[in-house]
Parts: sequence; structure tokens; C-alpha cells
Amino acid sequence: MRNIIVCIHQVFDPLASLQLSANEKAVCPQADEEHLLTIEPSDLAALEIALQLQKTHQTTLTVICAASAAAKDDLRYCVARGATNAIHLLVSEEDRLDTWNTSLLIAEQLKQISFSLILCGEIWQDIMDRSFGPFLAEHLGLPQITRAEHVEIHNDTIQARSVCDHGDRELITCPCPALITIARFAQQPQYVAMKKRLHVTDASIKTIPVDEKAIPSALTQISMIGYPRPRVKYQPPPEKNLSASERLKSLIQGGQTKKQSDLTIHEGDTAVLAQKVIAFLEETGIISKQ
Amino acid sequence: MTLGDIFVFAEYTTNRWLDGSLEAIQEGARVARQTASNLVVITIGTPCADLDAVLEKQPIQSLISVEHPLLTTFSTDGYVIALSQLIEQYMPSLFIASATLTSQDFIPRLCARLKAPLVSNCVRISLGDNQRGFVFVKPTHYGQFYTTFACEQTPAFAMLLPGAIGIQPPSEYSPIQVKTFTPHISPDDIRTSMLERTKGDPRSIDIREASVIIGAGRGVAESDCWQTVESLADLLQAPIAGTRPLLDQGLVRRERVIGQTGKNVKPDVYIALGISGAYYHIQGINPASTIVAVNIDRKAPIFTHSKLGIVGDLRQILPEIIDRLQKLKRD
Repeated sequence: MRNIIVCIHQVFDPLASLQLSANEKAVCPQADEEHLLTIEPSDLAALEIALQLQKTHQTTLTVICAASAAAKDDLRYCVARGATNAIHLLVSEEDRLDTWNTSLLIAEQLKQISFSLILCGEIWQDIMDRSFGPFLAEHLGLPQITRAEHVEIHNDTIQARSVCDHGDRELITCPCPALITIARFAQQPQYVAMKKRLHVTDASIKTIPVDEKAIPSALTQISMIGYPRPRVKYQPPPEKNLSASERLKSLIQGGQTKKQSDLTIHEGDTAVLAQKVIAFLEETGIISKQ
Repeated sequence: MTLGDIFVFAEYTTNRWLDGSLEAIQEGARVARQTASNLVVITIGTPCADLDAVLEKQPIQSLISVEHPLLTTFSTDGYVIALSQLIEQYMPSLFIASATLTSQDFIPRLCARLKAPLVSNCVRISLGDNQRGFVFVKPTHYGQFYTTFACEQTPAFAMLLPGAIGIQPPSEYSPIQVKTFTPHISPDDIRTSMLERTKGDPRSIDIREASVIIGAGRGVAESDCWQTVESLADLLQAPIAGTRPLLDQGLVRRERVIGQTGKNVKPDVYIALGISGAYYHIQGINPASTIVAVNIDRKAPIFTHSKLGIVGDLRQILPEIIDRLQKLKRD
């Protein structure tokens, strides 16, 4: 078992007060705002899982981040939490990277490192983007498992329990090395004592300045950021068989109600009613699904 | 100006097309009209015959069914290889999919392989300035802002935020030309394998993910049959959700409340027990869901939204249903 890599990313703090910049192409903190960026919560869940694997397999754990100088405190937290070392790909404040060029930068760095497993969060919440993990896996040619909530390593294979539709779970296996994205609620990050944080030395964080020209160009360009919702969601008009009051209710609810034209109401003997329900559940496949 | 075709990736469950995919088809049709392009729907696997009837009502010119024995179950590698071969052959200008868990798994990887631009969770797609490329709008910064992205490179990929557009009744129909595409995939290409799939624990899953939900209302609390409802939920392997009064009484947790003050759910079947059907509650249920209502009041508004309405006392009907279910299970 070789090194485990955890990729972390800084997102806008959900509690931070933001405003548009003058050119409407960026978002900046309001004048009295101090705390703007924080570690993506799903990345913290990935770190917790990596720490558990590190303990089990007695391996090293490297945290990597491509961000501005503000990320150093977050890397310090990761090292204080138990990471062996950290790599900070330092970009300037103005170069806010998107998922594409961040994944390319990190992939270039990881090509120089030996590792068995890469973990990262499933999403960059602030921009609602789940692309980073699959991008990085493709750049490095690794198999990927997404939205894992539990990871185990057996010799040279990885088993991960992944979150699927309807609350189902899939147990997926793949060979090492691989990239696994971790579901946001897989683990709760633990607190780190201030004493531990203070003991983290700068030697454990390797800072690599990234030249502006070395940053790969983005495939999409931001042309504008704005406040209003750009389109109104389609609302079906109230159905004709509704009464006036029901039509009004339907409009208030955004067309959510739908009067069933084929409704059948049954009353009478309990045994017959119960049988009607059972027959309906069978017809809809609910019982046979069990 | 005519661009390449507009491709829409459509997904379906065992018995219906995903609402998000129908939204993607409609958005694709709108963009295709703007660009005077053809709309082509892409499916992987063989759709059921009765599902095709839904697509026939959509403004689709053609459908490409990607078929291969290794694509019967989902694998990131298999889907990426198949669709990258398809896209390299047809070179569409735009590829749209709904941002479901499946598409969010493989589409970013597909884009990385093709070095194509991707905008995920967007709510609007339109033609770019001077009819070059496309413009995408998506919510960013936790929904505080909407960001407009422009990209001139094609093919461009977009994943639509499910539910953001709404399903409109289709306005035009045309005969669908169905083609089959068989990609070249070898078993060695697929590096991940699924060992087992387990059903989510109904007592702990997020109710937004559930396909069957048992909704309990004030009637359950008043008739003192909470334990019977729990037994029914265990038998049906369904989570229990509730209305606001049940939260106030401490019977359901906050994350299990449906409606204006709770969550919006989209189960296939919603079993409403002792729920009157106030629109604060109904608002939280997807109109596509089938509702079965049991209520003692024949005039309860819930019946107007139900497919099956049962008028009766929960204390008598529920034990009878549970008995029959247990008997069925034993048999």
C-alpha cells in the first residue's frame, strides 16, 4: 500500500455575504466580510475516510490543493488533523480556477508522485459542480467510483459502497490505483485542538508557485454573473375539471395539484377495502418489488 | 446558420422516462429550433416497448439506441467509451443530459476524454452571440447568483438541473427514425465491477430518494395507530414521512416532513394515511406520483389528487392490510 492522496478545494463560505464586482464577471465579499473561503465539506469527508485508511494500512497521506495563499490555513488544518504532508499549488488571487484547469494542474503534479488511491469530495458545492473527480480520473487514466460513503482496500483492489438513486447502495470494486469521490455526508469532520494546529510547521506544507502562463485555459468563459432568475419555470395551466377555488389553489401552488379524472373512491367492508389496496399495490408493482 | 445535431441523452427507470430527461428533450427541441438543427435522442440499452409511446409525443427527429452486451448495467468506462465513439462519429454541436446521479458520473469523464466544454446544472441554453457556440446559465454561489457561461467550441456538453425547467405539453410531433449504434468495447476496458446492490434502509434514507413513501397525517396521531403504520412501512420497505402536525407532536423528525415547510418528494407511489390533503402538504408531492389515500372523511381534499381513495377508519383497515401482506409474504 502506497501513498493516499486527498484533493481539497476552497469554496465560498455559505454564510459569507457576497456581492457582484463592478464588471459583473466576478463575486467579491461585502465590505465588512472577513471570512470568505472554507474547505468544501465533501472534501473534509474524504479527508476523514483517508485518515481511517491511513490508520488501518499504516501508509502516508498527502493533501493537495491548487488555490491562492488563503488556502494555507486549510492545509495547516489537514496536517494538524493527521495528514503526513501537504502540497500547495500556489496561484495568484486573481486566477480563480474552475474544475477543468484545477484538475489539469493537480493531474500534472500527481504524475510525479507514486500513490495507490486518490480521494476527493463529490461536489464543489458553491458552483454545484460534480466534475472535478471524473476530470482528474480521466487525466490520470484511473478507474473511478463516485459518491462513495465507505472505502476498503484489500491487497491491490478497492471496494467502495456508493450511494445510488432511491437510497440504494452499490458495492463496487476496482483495481488500485483509483480515484474515489466521497459523498458529502459520508463522514463528519472532527475538530482539531488549537495546540495541534500551532504545532504544524511550514516544512510539512510544500508550496509550489504556479506561473500564470502554466495555468491551462478554461474551456468555458464567464460572460456575466447576475441576480435574477433567467427564466420562469413552466407551470401547467389548471385543469378544466377543477372548480374555481381549486384552480386558484393550483395557481398558488405553481400548478402542483393534479385532479385525478380516473379516481375511484371505495367505502364499506374493511376486508374488501384492504383487498383493494393490496390489489393496487400489486398492480403498481410495489409488492412484487419486495 | 445550421450547426450540427443536438444530442439529448435520455434515461428511464423500469416503468417510466425520467422527468429530467423529458425536460432535457424539450430544452434540446427549443435549441434545435433556434439553430435549425435536428434533435437526436440517445438511449443506452433497449427501451421497453411501452416507454416508446412517451417519446413518440416529443418533438424528436431521430433516436439512436446504443446497444452492447457490456452496457446492460451501468459502468463509467463502458458508457464513456460507447458515447465517445458515437460522438466522434456523428460530431453533434451540443450534447444535453439531465444532471442525474448517473450522468454526473460519466459525462464529466466523457468531456475530459473529448476535451469538450461542460456546464453542469444549467437552467437555460441558448445560441451564442453572432450564432457562434452556445451560452449556458446556471445557479452559482449557493443559488445567490446566476452565472452565464459562453463557449464557442463544439461539441459542447450541458447537464440540466432536474426540475428547473418544467415539463411542457409537446406542441409538435414527427415520426421518429430509430437507429442502432454498436460501440466497440472489450471486457478489459471496464475496470470497475458491481459486486452487489442493496436497497436503502427505509428508516434512514432521504425521503427524496424513496420510490414508495408512507405519509402519515393528523389522522394517524388522533387514532393512535403509529405502531401499525410502522409495521406497514416495514412490510413495504418504505420510509414514513409526515405532515407538519406530526412534527409538532414529535412523531416524525424535521427531515421527514413533506410540504411547504418540509421537503418536496417524487415517489412512484405515495400512501397517504390520515392526511386531509391541505395544499401546503400536496405542494411537496410531485404531480407525477400516484397517490393512494386512506381517510375517514369522504370529503377530504386528498381524494381529489388520489388514484385510489379508501374511506374508512385506519384502526380497522391498517391491521387488515398488514395481515394480508404478511400472508402474501408467507406464501
